[in-house]
Amino acid sequence: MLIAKVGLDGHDVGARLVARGLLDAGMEVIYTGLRRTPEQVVRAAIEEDVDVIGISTLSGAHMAHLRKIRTLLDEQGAGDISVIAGGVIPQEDIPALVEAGVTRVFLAGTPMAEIADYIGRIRNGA
Amino acid sequence: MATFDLRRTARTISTVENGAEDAKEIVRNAYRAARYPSVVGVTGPPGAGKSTLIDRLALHWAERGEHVAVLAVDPTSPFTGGALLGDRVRMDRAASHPNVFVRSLASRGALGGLSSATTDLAAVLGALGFGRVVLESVGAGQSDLAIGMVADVVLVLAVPGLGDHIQAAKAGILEIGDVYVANKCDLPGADLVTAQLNANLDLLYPGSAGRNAARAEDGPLPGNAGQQCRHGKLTDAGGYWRPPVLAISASDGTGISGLAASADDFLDWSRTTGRYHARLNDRLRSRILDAVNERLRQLCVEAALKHRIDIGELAMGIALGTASPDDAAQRLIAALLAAPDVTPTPESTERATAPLPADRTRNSG
Repeated sequence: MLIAKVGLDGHDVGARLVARGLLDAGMEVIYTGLRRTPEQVVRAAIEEDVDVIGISTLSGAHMAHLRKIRTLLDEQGAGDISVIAGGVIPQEDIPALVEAGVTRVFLAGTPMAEIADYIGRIRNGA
Repeated sequence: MATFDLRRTARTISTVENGAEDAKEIVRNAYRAARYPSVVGVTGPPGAGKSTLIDRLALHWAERGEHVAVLAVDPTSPFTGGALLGDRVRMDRAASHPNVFVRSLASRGALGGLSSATTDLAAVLGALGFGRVVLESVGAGQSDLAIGMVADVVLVLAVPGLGDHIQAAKAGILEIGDVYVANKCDLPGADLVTAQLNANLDLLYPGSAGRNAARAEDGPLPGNAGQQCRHGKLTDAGGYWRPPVLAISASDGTGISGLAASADDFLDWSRTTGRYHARLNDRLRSRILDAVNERLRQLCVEAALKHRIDIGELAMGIALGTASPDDAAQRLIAALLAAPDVTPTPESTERATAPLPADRTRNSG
C-alpha cells in the first residue's frame, strides 16, 4: 500500500498514524512524503506494485488531484490499483469523490482496525 | 532513448520477491542471460545520508543515459510482519527521471538470505535492461557487512558527530569499503572524519588513494584475504587499490560527480585486474550454497512428513533433555537419505536433479 500526500498541505500526522497502524497490522506501507504531484504518486505506485493508494488530504483541493491520479493510473495500465482517500473531507464531497474513482473515503477519526480490514480485503481480491 | 517498461519491471520484481512458482523460471532465465549490472552498494550508520546520496548518484548516472534501478531495503517488523518503507521520501529527484526505477523492499526477516534475494534481483534487473543497480543497506549491523557480498563497489558513509562510532563499533565497516564518503562536509567535525578514516586506512594500505602500481614487497600488514580479493595484494602485477576518502555534501550536491567518477574508476580497475570476476565468483558460490541449503531444508521437511516424523515432537524432546538439535537434524537427514522409503514429489525430483547453470562468471560487459 502506498500512502501519499498531494498538493500543498503540510500536515502529515494523520498519514503517519495510519501508516503506523497498517504496519502494526502486518502490511508493507510505502510512505511517499509531503507535497507529491499526482504524476509522482502514480509512478511510485506502479514501481512499488502496490494494491492500494491512500491519499491523505486536508486541503480541499482533493477533488482535482484524486481525479488526476485515477486518470493517470488508468492511462498507464494500472486500472487495478485502487484509490482510497482519508482525512478531513466534507461529507457532501464524498459522492463526487466516488464518481472520480475513489473506492472508499475514511473520515478522520475512523478506527485503525476498520482501515486495516478494508485494505486486507482488497489485498485478498474481495 | 529506449526506456524500460515500468509496470512490467515492477511486476517482475514482485513475482521474484514473493517467490511464487513462476519466480524460479524468471530467475533461471535471468541468470542464463548473464547480463550482470554494476551493483553499487551504499552503507553507513542511520542518519548518515544514504538515501539522499543515492538520490544524487542515481540522478547523476541517469542523466548520462544509464538505466538505473534503486533498491532501498527497510527492515520488516519481526513482530507484525509489516514494514514502513520510507526511503524513497528522500529520492524524489532521481525518482522523477525516466531512466530511474526506484523500488522499496522489506527485508522480510531474511537478513542472511537477503544477499541471495538481492543477487537474484540484480540478475533479473540486468536481464530487464538495467546497467546499474544502486542498493541501500538496511543500515543496522550485520546486513551492512553483507552488502560487501552483493555489491561490485561499496560506498561507506560516515558523518561528523558520531564520535568513534565508525572505528570502535564496526570493525567490519573499515574492511568492506571500496570508497569512503565523509558526508555533511559542511558541518563542524567533518575534517576529523576524513582524517580518522585516512588514519585507519594508513594502517592497511600504503600508497595513494585509488589506483596504485605494484610494489616490490608486501607491506608490514599483508591484510586479510577478503581485502586482498577485492583490492589486490600489494605485489600484484596489476597493482592494488587504496580506498579513497571523499568529502561531500549529499544534501547540496557538493562532490557528487567526483564520487561517481571514483566509484566508476574502481569498477573499471576491478574489471581490468580481474578482481570484479573473483568477487562475482565468490558471490555466485555463496548463492549456490544458499540454494543448496534451501532445497535440502525443503527435502528434509518433506522426508519428515513421509516418514511421519513430527518436527514439533523432536523439539519437545530437546526441551525435555532427551536429544540435542543436532541429533534431531541427523534423524531428518537419515530420513532423506533412506531413498527407497522416500517417495519424491515431482517437484522435489525436478529440484534435486535440475542441472546447474553453466558457469558464466566472465562478464565481458
